[in-house]
Amino acid sequence: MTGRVVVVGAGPSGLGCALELASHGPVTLVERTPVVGGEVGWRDPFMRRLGDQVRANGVEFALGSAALRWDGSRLLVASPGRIEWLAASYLFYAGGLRPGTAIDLGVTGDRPAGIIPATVALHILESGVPLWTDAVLLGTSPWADQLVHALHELGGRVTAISLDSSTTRSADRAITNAHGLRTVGRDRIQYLDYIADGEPGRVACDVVILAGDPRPNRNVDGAITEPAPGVVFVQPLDVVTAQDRYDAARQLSSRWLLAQGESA
Amino acid sequence: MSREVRKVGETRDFDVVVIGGGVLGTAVAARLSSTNARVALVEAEADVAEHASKGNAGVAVSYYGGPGLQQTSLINASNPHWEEITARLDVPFRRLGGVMVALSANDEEHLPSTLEEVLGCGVRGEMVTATRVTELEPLVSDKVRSGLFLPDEGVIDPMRLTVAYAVIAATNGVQVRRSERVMRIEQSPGRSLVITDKAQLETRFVVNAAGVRAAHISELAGGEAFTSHPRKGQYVLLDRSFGSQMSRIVFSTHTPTTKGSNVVPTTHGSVLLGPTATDLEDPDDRATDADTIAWIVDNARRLVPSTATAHRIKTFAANRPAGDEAHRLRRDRLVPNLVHVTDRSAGVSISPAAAELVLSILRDAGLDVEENPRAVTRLPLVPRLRTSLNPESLPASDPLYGQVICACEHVSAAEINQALTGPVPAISVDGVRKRSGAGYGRCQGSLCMAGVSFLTAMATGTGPNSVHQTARGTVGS
Repeated sequence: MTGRVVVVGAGPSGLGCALELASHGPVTLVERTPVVGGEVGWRDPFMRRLGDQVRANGVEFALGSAALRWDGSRLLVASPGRIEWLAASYLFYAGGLRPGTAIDLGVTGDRPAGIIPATVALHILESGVPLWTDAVLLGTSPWADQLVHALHELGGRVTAISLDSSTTRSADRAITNAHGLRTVGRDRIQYLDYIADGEPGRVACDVVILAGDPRPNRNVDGAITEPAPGVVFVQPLDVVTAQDRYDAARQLSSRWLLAQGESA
Repeated sequence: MSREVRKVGETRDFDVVVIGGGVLGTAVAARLSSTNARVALVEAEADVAEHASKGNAGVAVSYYGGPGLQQTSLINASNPHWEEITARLDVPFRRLGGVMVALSANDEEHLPSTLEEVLGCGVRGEMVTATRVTELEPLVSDKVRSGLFLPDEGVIDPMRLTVAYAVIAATNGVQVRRSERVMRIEQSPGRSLVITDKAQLETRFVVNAAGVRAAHISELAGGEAFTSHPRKGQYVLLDRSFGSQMSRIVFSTHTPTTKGSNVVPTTHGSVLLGPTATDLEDPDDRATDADTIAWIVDNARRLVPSTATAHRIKTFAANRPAGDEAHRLRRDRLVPNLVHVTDRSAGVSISPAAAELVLSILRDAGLDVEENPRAVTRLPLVPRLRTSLNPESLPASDPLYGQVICACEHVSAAEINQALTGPVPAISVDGVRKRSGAGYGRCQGSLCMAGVSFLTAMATGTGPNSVHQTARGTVGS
């Protein structure tokens, strides 16, 4: 390996890459939030153990640092009070996944207040604030189950609507194979209209939560679309558990190191 | 008459009350603010730059209507000055030039008449070959047969422009009264009493810049009855990763009945497809629909085939004021102290010259005011993290530049706090988006909306439940 590698993202994928790459050269791990764990969460014992292990292997941590631009040989990184370029030969981008948005779910209609991305809804609900009583949850991405749980904890009811035959079992009501999703409401959301089994339907609600199928986060200029020079994207869509994501990232990094060795 | 603002109970005394905080109302208020006139700007929504001033393609056109129109002379008087104006107001602007493309024999038949109109307006334009079109914009369809190049077309951030006008106005002492709806207007000779849901505003002149509600305001004032209706335009926004490849605005060929739907790079680096045109009755109907969105995408694909592969970020709709006169900038024929300022589609493009014209109309009508040499005409430049050429230096001015809230658009807490302060601050998550760009990007707030809500709640003294997501609605129920 020639020179430093910078890994963006300290979830299971980023930690897997950092650990594997650290045995062959200097590695810096850049993470937007101040903690290790990513979507799995910093409290998770497995993630904490991984974090310790990666640190013990000499990986340099830049927590609370947002990666902004990649120009092929350096990464612009911002943290409170400090914005700087980090020189690196390669960027491993493990920025995690985010829920599909309204356009990904094919939602049209009004755009009133009360249409909220799943990650945001989860963040606010988990701080214990009861915001809504009748939620419509669109999509069956991994955030959906957590959201139903969080909404139930705070006394809310949930109608889960999916575009295919999959369901969110924990919801109070599930509608599958829906299409033609339309939001209705002038100031705040009032209804979600849909078509299922050839019949139009309407659900009254005070929030529509967007939990479409996961999409890779892409927010470092120069590393948005694939392929990008000097960038390895580590954001598998079909690997779900933290352990599997970590394993997949290690394997990918190991194969990459091997290929580097062969081409050298 | 005293120049002091006189308070009589709830009554306040003004020289001019401007109704409507869109791009034209704020432009007029900004221009009047550099005189010693006492001015109020009344906006029914909780923020300026709502409706058509928020939902438009962001084109500062060089050509729109035909020769001889007042609108044309206002565009001509505004267009050459955009570099200077936008630098002064810290508003993003790029003079990209636009190319109208003919993809069929039928399209080609219409280009010469459009060129004739363009030249008749005194605007630069030239017919170009298919080869030249693809030199100008390599992403245009290879089916292009010829084109019309309009070098002076520009793209502008219409929300930043409107907010900047409002900030200039407020800085110079205009009362910017948001969330205040005009209920009645009582006329007495030479004076109007504008009665809102909050106050009574006594004034010598009323400027009606109410956009899709202009006919209603005219009716309240006892002015001309004009037929006017909302015309809905729907749009599709494409990701910056695609927008960075485009270098020109690509227009559909104009036909006698429509100007068509276009492919417009924005000042933000994204690309807008649209607008469509559907006449409505309800100005509050701003819904998108799947059929129209599919049509916009298909039409854009004809003009620029690679738009099909671009990541689509969102769809939206807004209503522009259509009606018997597409452009109305003059004194009312019945009420001598009422001035109408509406334009169906070119509000942004005429705004600087329209504001100047309104001042001269008001002077002709008896507004005896002088220029105020101390008035502010320039806003401080707020550095933007995403586009900064020297980002390492930013934390020295504010350490919060290093705290990135919006991951997709690289908007820092410093920029968001800036949007939440000042004389016309954002009061909602959407207001922060309009001013800072936070939430514009491909994740549509998945990563940043919690943070933006938090900062907005802090600044507005609300909480996670009661913080406003849009001008009209809260995050919680």
